[in-house]
Amino acid sequence: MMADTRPMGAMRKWFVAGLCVLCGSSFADQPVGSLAVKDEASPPVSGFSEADPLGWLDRIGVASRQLNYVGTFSYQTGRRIETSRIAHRYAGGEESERMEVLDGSPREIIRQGEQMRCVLPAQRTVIIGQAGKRGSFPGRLPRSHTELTGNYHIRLDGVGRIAGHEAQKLVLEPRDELRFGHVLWAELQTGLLLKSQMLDARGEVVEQFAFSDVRIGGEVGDELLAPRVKVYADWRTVDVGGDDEAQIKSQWALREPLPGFSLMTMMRHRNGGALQMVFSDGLAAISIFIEPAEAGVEARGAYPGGGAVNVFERVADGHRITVLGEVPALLVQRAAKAVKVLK
Amino acid sequence: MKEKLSAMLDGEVDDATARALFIRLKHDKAFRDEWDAYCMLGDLIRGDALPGLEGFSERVMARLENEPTILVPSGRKEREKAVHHPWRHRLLPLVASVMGGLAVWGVMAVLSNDAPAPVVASAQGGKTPGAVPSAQSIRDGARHDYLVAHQALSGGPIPSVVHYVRTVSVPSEE
Repeated sequence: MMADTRPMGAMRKWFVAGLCVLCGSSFADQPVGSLAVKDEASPPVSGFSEADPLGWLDRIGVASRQLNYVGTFSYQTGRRIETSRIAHRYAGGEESERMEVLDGSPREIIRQGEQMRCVLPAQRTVIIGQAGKRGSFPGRLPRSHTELTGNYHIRLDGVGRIAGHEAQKLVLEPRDELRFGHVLWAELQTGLLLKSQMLDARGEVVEQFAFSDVRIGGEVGDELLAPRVKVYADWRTVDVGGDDEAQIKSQWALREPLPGFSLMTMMRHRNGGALQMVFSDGLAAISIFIEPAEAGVEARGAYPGGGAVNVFERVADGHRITVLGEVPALLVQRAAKAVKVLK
Repeated sequence: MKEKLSAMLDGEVDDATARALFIRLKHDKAFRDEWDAYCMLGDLIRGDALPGLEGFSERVMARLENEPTILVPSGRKEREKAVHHPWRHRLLPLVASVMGGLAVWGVMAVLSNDAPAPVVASAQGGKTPGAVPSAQSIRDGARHDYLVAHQALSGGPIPSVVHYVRTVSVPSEE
């Protein structure tokens, strides 16, 4: 649908053209998050040009964080579809969210500020961690949009209708084969993302999120955000939080840079856990996890991680290196093989 | 013959077969015992509980939800049977574990010949093979943790917790 009409040769030309366009971009220096909202319930101020796709991306990010909304959305990957319910509240500068998968076992995700709790009844597991510490879009985007537009050709593509709302369609076409394409639909008045598709190089939908109904604004009561899935004392609890390793010189490096990706953060997980490095191209991200390899366990190589996530695992220098992200398999493999220990 | 008895309970035999089964039931005590066991199991599943077993079906369904995946493959024959009467084979270990040493143990004894090997192991009080930690399952768990850690830091155009749908979605259920 998208990339199939753009052979790789054309993509490279776009890359050059994009760089030229960037030189004249009036948005290159626009601080991220400048589209503030007046209060919790009102939509973001429309102080941007509706004709500017980068402005829309900013708006989407602000809306998802600073709007109240309650809705039902479907998540589709391959032939599978799951429906989930989400409630989001922004009050006092803090986000609260609850999401529950409605099909199958009632998996639940609760977020209060930066604290996140993910309950997996089928696995008798609770995962706790920090959500959106640095990860909220567009907070993690580069200060300018140079990196983003260097990696994607971004354009508006008309207004459609999603879940009963008028929505602006945005298309982000990758400039190489190392990242997926994106098609986004943002509610016209508020910028809330109503539908998102990730596309592979053939234009096939790798995964899709889409609201089927959503209420934007208004009150979101505590009852919609309260945990409902019972957790038992004998369930496994996994803490995926960690400590920044920015000040520590890592003994790990990449043999060659990943085109368009730069290191965003580095974290050492607690209790002797893995070292995690996050690389981003301004939109997609990969994580590289490094930890001592278990004896007798062989690396699995490439395998799908669910939805758009690809994983590649190898063992090097006595360590297991796992790379995963919402990117093509080619990139995670390249990244995993590029990791080396500094002697 | 047990298979036919089971099929009759499911309404899957023709009249002639049913007639033959009833004649045998009339004269064969062991066969009648099997019939009673099947009927009791059916009653339990439908919620027609024996005294003191209120809410049994709900508990069974809750256990089904949490039942670990059986990693040891069953033989072809057992698989075919499981497809034919999936509810009975899936419930067998649960009945034993929920009911402990109650009358259902008798049912187990009767049915154990038909049950896939790993299921019987569970019914006899041991751990199911799926519950035994294996390198593979541990590592799958680790990948799960990796996904959550990744999504906490990676962002993207999708609103915050929606990211975690990938983590908790279908593949993790398999």
